Amino acid sequence: MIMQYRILPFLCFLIFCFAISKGRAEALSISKMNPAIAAVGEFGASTSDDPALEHPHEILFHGGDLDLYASVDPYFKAELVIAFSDKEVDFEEAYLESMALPAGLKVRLGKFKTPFGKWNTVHGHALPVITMPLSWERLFGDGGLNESGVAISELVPFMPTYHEIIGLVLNGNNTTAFNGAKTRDLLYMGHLKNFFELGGYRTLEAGLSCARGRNNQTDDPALYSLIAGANLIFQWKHFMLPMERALTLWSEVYHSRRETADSSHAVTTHASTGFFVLGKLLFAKRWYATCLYDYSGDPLETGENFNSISAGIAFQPSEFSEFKLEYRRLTEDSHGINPINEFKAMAIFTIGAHGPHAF
Amino acid sequence: MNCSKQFLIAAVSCFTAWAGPLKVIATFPDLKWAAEQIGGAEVKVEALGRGNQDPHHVDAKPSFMLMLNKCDIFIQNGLEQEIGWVPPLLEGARNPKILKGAAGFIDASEGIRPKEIPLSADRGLGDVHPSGNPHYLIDPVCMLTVLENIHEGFVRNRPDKQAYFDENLKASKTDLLVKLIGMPLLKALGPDSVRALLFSDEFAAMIKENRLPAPVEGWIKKAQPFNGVTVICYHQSWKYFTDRFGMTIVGYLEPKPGIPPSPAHLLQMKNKILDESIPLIITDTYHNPKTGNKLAEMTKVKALWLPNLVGGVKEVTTYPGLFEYNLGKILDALSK
Ligand SMILES: [Zn+2]
Repeated sequence: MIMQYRILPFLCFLIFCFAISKGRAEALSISKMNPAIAAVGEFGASTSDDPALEHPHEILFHGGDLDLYASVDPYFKAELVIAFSDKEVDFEEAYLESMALPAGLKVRLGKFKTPFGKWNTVHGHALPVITMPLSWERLFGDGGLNESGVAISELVPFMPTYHEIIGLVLNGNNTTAFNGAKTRDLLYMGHLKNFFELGGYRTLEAGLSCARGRNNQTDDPALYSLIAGANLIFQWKHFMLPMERALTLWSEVYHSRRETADSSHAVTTHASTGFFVLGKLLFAKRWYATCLYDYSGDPLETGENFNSISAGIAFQPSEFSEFKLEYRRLTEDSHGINPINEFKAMAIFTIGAHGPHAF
Repeated sequence: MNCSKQFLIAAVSCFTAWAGPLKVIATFPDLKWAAEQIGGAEVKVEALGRGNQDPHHVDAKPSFMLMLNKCDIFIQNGLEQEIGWVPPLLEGARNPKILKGAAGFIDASEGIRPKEIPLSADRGLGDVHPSGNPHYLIDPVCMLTVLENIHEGFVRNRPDKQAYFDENLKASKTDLLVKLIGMPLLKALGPDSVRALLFSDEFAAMIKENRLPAPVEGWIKKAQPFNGVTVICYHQSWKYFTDRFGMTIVGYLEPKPGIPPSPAHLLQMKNKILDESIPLIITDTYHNPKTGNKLAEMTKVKALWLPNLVGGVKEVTTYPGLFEYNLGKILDALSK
């Protein structure tokens, strides 16, 4: 009896509690129809002992990216990356990607950084070094192999590990390797991405790439370039302190076979190879060091082979800002020119939406 | 006619048998535990993140994409806890069944009332979670909502097994409530009333003023000695826990969410500990205990390194185990 007496006021109170707890969710639904927007800015300083440079000491705002990202509808997502530099404004990427095709198929349409290796797919500000490896830059040009086209990809079925095959048909409007946009030919590319868990916090990504397309604009004779590449990325993280101790070893090799013609229209093939090996060590929370060795053969037949080694250190106050300092020593093999030494510093900041963490 | 009907039934049951248990992927071990409580023999669950891994920073590895590609149901913590790594995983998984809004997508935070919703989403305040504090799994009362959300998702995907899931939901909620407040109070009020009471801010006062219809037992009783104890935590990850068990967080080792401690801030915390005689520092096992230990050395308070998620230390393999362990460690520290 006493028990019941105590329960009565109690039940009134409980009804009140229920009423509150039902009302809360609606207040949270903020309109999120606008695309996620992030802006990245890069500010740099450099000094070099290269006698050929007009301005060996520079402090400049390099420009930035404006990144817009959203689901278009239940079937597609879209991303636009607009790059602003001191010279121009351009779409660095602008593409539509399928989200719900059957059988694990994925299609991407538009302009995007093509998956020739992994380096080529990552935005400059997200890479751990300031100066891009020449083995990559001399082959694909400033900004890399960034093309308009279609990519279709699929996971290899019935495998216990991750294997992805990507086939691409592209316009072939690259400044260096492929330059046949005004011809009847397109650029064809393929990439096989493999990923392995090695136990603990150790992983390995291995990829193979191949691309073939025109490198000249005239059909008399039509000249083709064939580029094959391989990439290998090993990552280790400390099992208790993955944010404080981690190591990445990253290497890519590119082999180019470029057809050229002499004045009598006789076609010859010029072969060259380039590669880089990068080590990145996270040695404390927010701090990492890098070391890069880079060899660039002679992809455009200019007669120059470059060797460079660089070392850098970076500090990230938060996920959204980063300061990097880098030293590079560049040697040109064949002409016996003195090595060039340069120091670079860069500050990078991101404002706006929280993008995905790089892996 | 009859024959073909029988054949159809046989075919359908064959198909169901062939389909096997639902393949479920959860972002954290606590959600895996919850899914196993509801799904029982009808599910096979794996977790992506580990209990001692920073839940904001799990790697979006292709191997996870492959796991997600082959699964039927995906369960996330929500409230933007996984914003840095789940979106690329779902994109790379190529599995329309588990995309947001599809039948196989379960957001465990549905219906949770988030604490600490920032007034403005400004990164000058640190890496704030715009939807509010997402570390709610450390409150057993929130876990009741999680169990319900997972139940709803499982029923949506296997309506033929509803009775089984219903029974598991009831049993697991009862079990958790008994562990939290004890059988007498649960019996006196019934599960729904107890739940509403636990969600209200009045519960602590009611225990104190002896206004409850039956004595409280379980973890709440075990935690009575903590009532009113002040504590400094590394990150926002203990807010739901301290609120549930009557402690008050008076400072953080992180000057702002996601920003590592600076010497100036530590000095401030040291003075605060000494001035206000704060007895306890709690660091979660996915953050380095170094800072807390250093501060403890300087001030002679107790620094605890406690699991915030199941699996945060190897002794904690179940969700109830997480509370047994943490409450035990805190009691130990306070009694010394
Ligand atoms: Zn957090």
